[in-house]
Amino acid sequence: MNENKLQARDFITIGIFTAILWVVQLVVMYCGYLSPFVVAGYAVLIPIATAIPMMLYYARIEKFGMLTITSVIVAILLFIFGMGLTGAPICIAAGLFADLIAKSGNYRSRVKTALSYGVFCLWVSASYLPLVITADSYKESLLEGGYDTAFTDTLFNIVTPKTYPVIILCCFVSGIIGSLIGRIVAKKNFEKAGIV
Amino acid sequence: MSNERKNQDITGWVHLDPRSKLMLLVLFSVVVMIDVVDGPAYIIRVIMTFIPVVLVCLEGKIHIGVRFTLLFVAASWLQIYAQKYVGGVAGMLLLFLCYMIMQFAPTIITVWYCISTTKISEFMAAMNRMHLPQGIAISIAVMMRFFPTLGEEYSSIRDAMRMRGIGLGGGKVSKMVEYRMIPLLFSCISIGDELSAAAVTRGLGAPVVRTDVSEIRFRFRDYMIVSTMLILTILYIIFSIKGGNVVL
Repeated sequence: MNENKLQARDFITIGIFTAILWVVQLVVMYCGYLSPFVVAGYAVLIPIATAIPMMLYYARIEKFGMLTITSVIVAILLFIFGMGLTGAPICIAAGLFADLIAKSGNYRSRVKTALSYGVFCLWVSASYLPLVITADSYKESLLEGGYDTAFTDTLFNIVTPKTYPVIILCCFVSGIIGSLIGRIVAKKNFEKAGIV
Repeated sequence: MSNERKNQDITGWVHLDPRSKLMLLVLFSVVVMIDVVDGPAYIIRVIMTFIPVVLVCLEGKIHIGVRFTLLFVAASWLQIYAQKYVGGVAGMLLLFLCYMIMQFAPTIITVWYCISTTKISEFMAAMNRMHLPQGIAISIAVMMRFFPTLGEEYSSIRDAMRMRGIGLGGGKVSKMVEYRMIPLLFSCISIGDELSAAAVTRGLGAPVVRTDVSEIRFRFRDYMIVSTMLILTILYIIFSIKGGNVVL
């Protein structure tokens, strides 16, 4: 069998880590209903919170394609959870580029892994897209749903088409910071246990 | 798989093809994309929400239908109550929670329905028929199976923490996250290793064309339910455009 081809084992790893990634990000998402600042802070919070499982995932990646498949599944999940298909191309492209970057470091290089995770985190910005593109109707529906005017005003002052590049940058930078944190945690807990 | 086991798998009265369930899921993701809180579109939304409830009951999982209905009624009642009587931060929090539940209710019940009534072998058969790459199919199947496992593992971790008298991790956010996530990851990794060993033993990933244990086919009821939902979705979109909600 071709050594570079993905095997059943790899697919199972993909499934497990994508499930963990999704659950962790859902937990962060639910915290977003506390304050509009948390919603705007997804770009920072989600990359950092998911960094720990993702760094463990990176340690298990040896072949090209795993990150890409993860991003495809995340795109499907985003669609099912009502974010639409507008973010899907960004999400999949982020996964693909992250995969390519990590591959160029042979999935072992620390710098490349950090960079790759930063790029991968751009999928978070994809979930903001409906917020930016359909800002007016989205705002109205939030108000009708009983949200406070102060909440929506703050949210739509922070998340606008103008600040969108900043959000993308935030995703990338906090992805890199997250990967450092994730590495420290992995070192502290998992290397001792001999898992990584 | 013996015949006996096969009969055990199907317990309900009405069993839909997994492909029609997927179709329902896609339709519902279109529905949750558009927010509507009143008017005829909202009525259609509620009707659509309760179709999977009926379906899940018909599959013999009445407790899920009951639990969801209670959740839905409680959330809608609390939303009205909180808008009128509860002020301040507590009211806002309550309102957000209810809004969340109401907004995602269709997706919640459909995902719940799909995961609780689809056997993995059925799912794989459906994916095979749809000619999806096997890799993605396996990954999604593992993921679907893994959400409940994550919940179970998490509750055992909480039990273990309570036994040692660790409540919130001393109030520090980093500790709170660490105490929960690290054990969870440990158990997930070992479950994953066992799972891959089991799967490889059963010949998953062997370079042959796989056959399917489950027989799946579209029946009359599949066509009926999917077409009903399709019509309802189209009506929903038309009404919400008329009501001024812009469609993505």
